[in-house]
Amino acid sequence: MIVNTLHFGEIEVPDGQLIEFPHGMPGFEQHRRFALIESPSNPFAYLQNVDDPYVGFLVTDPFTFFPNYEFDLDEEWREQLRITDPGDVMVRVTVKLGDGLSQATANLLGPIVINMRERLGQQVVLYPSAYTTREPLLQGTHESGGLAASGEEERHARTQP
Amino acid sequence: MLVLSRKKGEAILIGDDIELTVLEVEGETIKLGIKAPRDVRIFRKEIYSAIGQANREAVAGPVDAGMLQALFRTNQEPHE
Repeated sequence: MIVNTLHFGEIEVPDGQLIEFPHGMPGFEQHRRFALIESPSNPFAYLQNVDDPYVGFLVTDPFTFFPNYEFDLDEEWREQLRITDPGDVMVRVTVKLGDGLSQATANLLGPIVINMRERLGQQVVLYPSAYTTREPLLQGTHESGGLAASGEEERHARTQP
Repeated sequence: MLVLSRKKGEAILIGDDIELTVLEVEGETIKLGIKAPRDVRIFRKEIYSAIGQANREAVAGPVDAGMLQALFRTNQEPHE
């Protein structure tokens, strides 16, 4: 289908590539169908609602910027996402841009968990958790220059079994 | 809003299959037991709201256009 986006114009997304969020996301409960727009060797991606051009989120792989990030996915969430194989799971977090990347924050309290096999997604609400919705994106990395490269390695390491 | 008074050990039924029981009352904290079907999602409201607020703030608006283009500029057309 053709997806209208505020920032990238019209994008062709094969129907099989859509991701269903059966409950939307907190604050966007009625926004249920998304497309994950990725480009090769870019640690960032864009999660676009396909029915509303104005609802899209910059997202990233949290393990790239926060190598120690971890959480347990409770059984209820695993059931709702119909996860049977951890290898099907992709985790992304939303990034809120400030004036520049140095101001950007990531929401580590509400990770977006996607079962890529089922094309099912949920924004998980972690509890208890020491994470917040605004963790400085660049705090965990020594220098910003190597980000893209390390992100790339991480992505390949995680997606190639 | 419907207001009901309950004592420790008493419960409330909501619909056919949701049961809330007051398990413990201590000072300002009450402990609730919740029986509900597995597909009923249950959240601590302030955390759900905090994430909702963060989402509303994170939606990439027109003001973010320049930054976004810059982030994706080095690549060809973004694609699935």
